[in-house]
Amino acid sequence: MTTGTPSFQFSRNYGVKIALFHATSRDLKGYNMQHAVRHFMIQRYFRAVCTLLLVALALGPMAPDTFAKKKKKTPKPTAAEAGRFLNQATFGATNPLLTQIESNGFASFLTQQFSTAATPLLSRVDAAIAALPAGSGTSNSLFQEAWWYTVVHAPDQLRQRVAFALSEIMVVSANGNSMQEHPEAMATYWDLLARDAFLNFRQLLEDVTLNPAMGDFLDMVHNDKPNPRRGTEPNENYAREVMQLFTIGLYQLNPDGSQQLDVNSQPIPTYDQDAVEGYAHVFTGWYWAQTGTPTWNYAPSNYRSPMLAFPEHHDTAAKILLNGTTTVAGQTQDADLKQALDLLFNHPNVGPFIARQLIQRLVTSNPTPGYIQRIASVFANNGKGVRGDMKAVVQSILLDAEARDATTAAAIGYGHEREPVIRLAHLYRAFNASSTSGKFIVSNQTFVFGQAPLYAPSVFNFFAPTYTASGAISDGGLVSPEFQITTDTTVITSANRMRSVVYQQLSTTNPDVIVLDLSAPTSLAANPSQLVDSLNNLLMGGGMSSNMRTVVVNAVSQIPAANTLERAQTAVHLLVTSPEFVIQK
Amino acid sequence: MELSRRHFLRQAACAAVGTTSLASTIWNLRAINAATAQAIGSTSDFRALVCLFLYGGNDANNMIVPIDNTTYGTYSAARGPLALAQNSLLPLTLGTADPQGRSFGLHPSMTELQSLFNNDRKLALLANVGTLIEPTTASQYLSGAAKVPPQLFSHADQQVEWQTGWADGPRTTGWGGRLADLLTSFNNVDSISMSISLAGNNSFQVGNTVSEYQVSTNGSIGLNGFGGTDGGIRYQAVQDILNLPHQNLFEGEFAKITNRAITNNALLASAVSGVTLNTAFPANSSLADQLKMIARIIAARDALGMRRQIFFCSVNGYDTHSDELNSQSNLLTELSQGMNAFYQATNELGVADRVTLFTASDFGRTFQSNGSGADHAWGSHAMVLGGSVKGGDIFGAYPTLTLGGPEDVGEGRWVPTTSVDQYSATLARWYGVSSASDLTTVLPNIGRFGSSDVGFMNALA
Repeated sequence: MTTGTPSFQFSRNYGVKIALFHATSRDLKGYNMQHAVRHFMIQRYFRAVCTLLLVALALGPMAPDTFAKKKKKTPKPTAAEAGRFLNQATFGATNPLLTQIESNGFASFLTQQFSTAATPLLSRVDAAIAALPAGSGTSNSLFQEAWWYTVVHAPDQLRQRVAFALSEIMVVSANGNSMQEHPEAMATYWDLLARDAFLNFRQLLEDVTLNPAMGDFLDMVHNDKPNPRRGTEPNENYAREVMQLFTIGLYQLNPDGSQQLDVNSQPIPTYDQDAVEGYAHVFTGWYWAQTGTPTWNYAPSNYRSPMLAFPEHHDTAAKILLNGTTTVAGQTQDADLKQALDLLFNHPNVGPFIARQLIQRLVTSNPTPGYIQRIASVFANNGKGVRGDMKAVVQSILLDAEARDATTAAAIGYGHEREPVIRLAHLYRAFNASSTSGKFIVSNQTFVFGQAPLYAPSVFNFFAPTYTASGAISDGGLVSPEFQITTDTTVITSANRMRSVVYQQLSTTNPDVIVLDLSAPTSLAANPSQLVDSLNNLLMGGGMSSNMRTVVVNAVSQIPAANTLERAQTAVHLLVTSPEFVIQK
Repeated sequence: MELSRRHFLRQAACAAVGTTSLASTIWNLRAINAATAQAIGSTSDFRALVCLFLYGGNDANNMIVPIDNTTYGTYSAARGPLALAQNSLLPLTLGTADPQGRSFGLHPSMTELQSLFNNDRKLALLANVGTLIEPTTASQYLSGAAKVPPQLFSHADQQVEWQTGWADGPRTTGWGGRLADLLTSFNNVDSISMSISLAGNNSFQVGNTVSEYQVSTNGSIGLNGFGGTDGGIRYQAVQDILNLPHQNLFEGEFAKITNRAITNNALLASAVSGVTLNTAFPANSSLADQLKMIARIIAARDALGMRRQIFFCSVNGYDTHSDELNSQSNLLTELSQGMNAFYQATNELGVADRVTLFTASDFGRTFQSNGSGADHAWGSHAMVLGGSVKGGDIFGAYPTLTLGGPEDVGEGRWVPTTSVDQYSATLARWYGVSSASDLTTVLPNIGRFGSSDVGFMNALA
């Protein structure tokens, strides 16, 4: 309903003009930041994607089907290619997974992952609750332990990795609210994301909407119809954020993720306050699931089952939704919900809006318009006439030429910062970390990393998809979401944590201490070059620069050859704290 | 001299190899700092601004409440379940009578701030301030005749518009950052950044040339774990890897931040280690921890060679869509106690008239309730605290509180009567922006509004 309009055409032309401007005004090799003109943040996406497009064009033609052709000709991925892929698709490469991909290829791995069932966090949390000493209360730390254990060990790596990406789009958090004492709330929500990660987006949207943790977090639980006597109106929290953050975003988009512009070159809002209020009325009449006769007031919280409908607390008046659509008066609560969610799901923004963010979380902060459009078109139709097929979307993101092509990845604006918790998970995974007690407790995450799973400071996540670090990245017209939590404090605290994990030894007094198994790199310590090359594939997708390799090999070689463990630790420490490890390309 | 200082730091960093803490071996920085302090002249000209951002949108409708019977009646009828009891409010003694004859009280949790307003006269209130592109009335808004800021009522957008001080401008720099750009010469070139954040990255402090330095509530932190026989080898390699040419922009930025953190830690850790601060700050409060560290850094201004400092700190949790009465009570208790401790600390340090703290928040909240909270709105009330503040008055125009009245654009969303630009300009002028053109650099839209001085600051001698 929005494509094919004059504004769409105008916007497309605008994008081309910007591309030409870049082609003539910027030396791609020199990339002179000092003289770069500062632009509006909303234009940064244009600049970013156009810059990348040009870099890609400058480096050689890259048709969307390049990969498909290559796949037929290229027999098997190299270890480096396997490592790159695994760092995008999992919580980090391991030696067994490298071997698996080298033998069977990417597509086979994806097929296997799509059919691997979700590892339930809730059962681990429940077991931990059952094992608590009598009288001790539950806390979010039980969820955190289950999360860390699962992402490090679970076989459904792709599912868990996509769930983490989704958890940073459809944000629920126990930070600073009463769910701090309810680890089952976060576990239930996490399991929902992992379960729905490969189902349909429409299913995901409805499940998220009716999830009790989301209901608590964004106040849909106990949201009552208008009460003229008390002068109250429905709660607008979920109504606003489900549109702004979970589905369609603030502005009308083209299929390639660029903003549509009106005749005054201004972006076009997707909704107004009337729609927020309309959706707030749609979302009335939901409360905790209960056993026995349901009661609207003072029921105990229930974070395990979807919220329950209370028709007498649902507003049945007609409501204004998006783009002039209205609900008819007297519709049932379920029918209202279905109509409202269908309308969001079918909005043309959802594909590009979600595609960009999933690409940002898994592959690169600044995807080209073409990349976004290819994924958005799969979202619109998986090839079998189905809209919202998440399995097809995830597969397309990971197998796209822009994700796989090493030449593309060499562009100066390619890739993204790996989130601190993913870096630590990878370190644990790469060296088969374990503790005597079997627990996986990671302490002090918010301070050390600036993040912890399902613990964002607000529904706006730890970082915004549009955040851009001032300086070279901003001047280059690029966004760098993860840099919002990359501060003078966290660069140091995370490096110190990674270092301490590498050197952690078993403790006789603390059975929860997590230690790495460095026997594999230790066995290569006699040959520093071989040691570093092996770690390069395992930890960095083979992306280490020759300069850095020289520094690391030189450092390792200075340590006496007899000190094999020290050599291995030195190499691992230097790699996992290096900018080249931190930035995933 | 500046180059040699950098050089010295690098040498010091190398010398630190083999110890557990880099900072501990920066042995004679204080001697150098004494020299830099002289180089920038007397620090009696010191000034600091502290931006305290209340993330989520503070419901200031319940922070400053009318207590005269007539206006309280209007208030309680419209607020419904959110109305605070009339006799629980803390009366304010206004220096200048309200033009409409109303009287006001603070939220019952704000006893310390009541005292700073009534007794010390160091706290000023600014009524109904918010983001604007031009002076706007509710009827202009409702008829679509006014240009209004993009994405009113959206958290992320309104936070950025408050912090950039330029509602319809590019979102590349903040007004604190532009202010620091202008006045950067007041500080020693090789000191830490003029813009110091206790709350991570923010839009307020991003400048064209000055970028903010983020400090934890424990101060700065250095790389550690370089002991043992191989520590020196590893430390050298870490430095060498950071200093490699990084073609990838993200790698380059990450290396830059890490190098900056290492250098700044050496400077700050040394300077702050000599600070004594006796004022008691509340325990178990992130805000109090942030404000305490700010006070310590202010105390270290001479050692750091700084005559100007701009701080950013924040509190989360003000998005009170539900359970507002409880949660806002807790939040405002923390706010009142934290701000009071900070003011007392600046007194202890003898710089109370040199330090101005001001609050900001995403937006106000709807005057009408959603049952147990309120939703996103627009204009809101702010607080300014410090020895140079003309305390004991409410500046700006307090709204009539009438649903459907002259300020209401829907459900009790007040159209602001003072712009963020005017609020910020008043602070920027006090901080040292003297010319009109400089003020326009900091607040580009200021010329669209009647006055660039709301009147709540006394000029420094």
